[in-house]
Amino acid sequence: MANMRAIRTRIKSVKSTEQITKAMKMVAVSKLRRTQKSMQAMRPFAEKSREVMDTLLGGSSGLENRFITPHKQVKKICYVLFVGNRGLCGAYNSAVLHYANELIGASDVEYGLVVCGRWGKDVIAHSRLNVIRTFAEISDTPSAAEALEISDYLKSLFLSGEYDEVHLVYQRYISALRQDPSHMQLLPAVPESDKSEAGKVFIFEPDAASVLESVMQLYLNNTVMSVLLDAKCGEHSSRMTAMTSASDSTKKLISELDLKLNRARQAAITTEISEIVGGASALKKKKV
Amino acid sequence: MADKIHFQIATADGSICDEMISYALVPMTNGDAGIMAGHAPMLAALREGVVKYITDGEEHFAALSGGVLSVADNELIILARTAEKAEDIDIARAQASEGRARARIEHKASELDIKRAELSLYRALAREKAYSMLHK
Repeated sequence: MANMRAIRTRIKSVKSTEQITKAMKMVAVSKLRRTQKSMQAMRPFAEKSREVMDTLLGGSSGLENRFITPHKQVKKICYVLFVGNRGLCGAYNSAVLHYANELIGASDVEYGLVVCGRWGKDVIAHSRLNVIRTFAEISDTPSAAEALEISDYLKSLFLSGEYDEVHLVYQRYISALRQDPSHMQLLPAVPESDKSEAGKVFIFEPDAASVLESVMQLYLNNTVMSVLLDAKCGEHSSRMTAMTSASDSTKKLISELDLKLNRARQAAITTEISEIVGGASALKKKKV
Repeated sequence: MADKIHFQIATADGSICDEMISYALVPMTNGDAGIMAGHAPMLAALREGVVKYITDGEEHFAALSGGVLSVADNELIILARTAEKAEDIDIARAQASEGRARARIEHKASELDIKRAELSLYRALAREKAYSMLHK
């Protein structure tokens, strides 16, 4: 009997766990949808600023900009690590941290690490990485203002000459089921403009160089924003997957426990019957 | 529609304005400029300030904090770092950030901080101006 009670309590606790994982899954789904929406909202902006940049850099304009010109010597590199805000999302966080570790280990240039996200303060501290700043206040559906804060900081690191390169390390969102740890160079910027067509003749106000400066500012903010959204999409979808499989395993566990409970009950009934039958036959024997 | 130009203000958070207008006054780095339909292709750098645009005879205002303007094919697009329509501006917040920026400039931190404070001061002033232009 004690066994049956134990199984019942166990079922109860597993059921409440299931409720939690289910709720977390639903939350992740809705946050994922919101993040994807803001990704779409920024698309026209990103496309247009890329267009303007192509116009400026295309052909043989020979324009230079302080964000594009590489520093003469690369002595110090800044890595920006995008992690999630919480755990419970599979290997999402640890995979990107591992990737960053490998990346840092591969080169022997001095480095500094900027962490964006609340996850893993202890884990990151334990890995003995040289963290120079942590942006912990990133919401689950990031806004442009949050991206601006990060990109302004990174720009100042580069312009002050403190760091000669800035790389972003994050989980690239490929599909809801797949994110790949990857990295890209933010600064000095490497605009991929190979359009050589001259196109329209534009009037520049006040001149092409200052327009380029403004566009570069926007381009960098944009890049940080899109990486931030990419990483967040990855976090939400990876939490969604993790919670789906957690809910599935609780279901499996519950059905196993149900079976055990039924067996235990059956066994108890069988024992009872055999006791009664045994008792009855003992009485019969006495009478004879 | 020959006398109208397609006008859009795009930011990383999405477009805040997307309509046909007859006139826009934009804050460029070297002075304000009015733009009407049929303008020649142009790329311009913008400063922190207020953009005024007219749709159906009605004036509208929006605060910008720097960006780029592009005119081509009867289409006027403002790519802004941040942008806010005058009716959405929270004047108390703008005044608070003006105060913060002024305090930071007075305390004279490092040169970099001063620059940043000045920028945020300009932004706050632009927002206040847009607000007062709407409510005058």
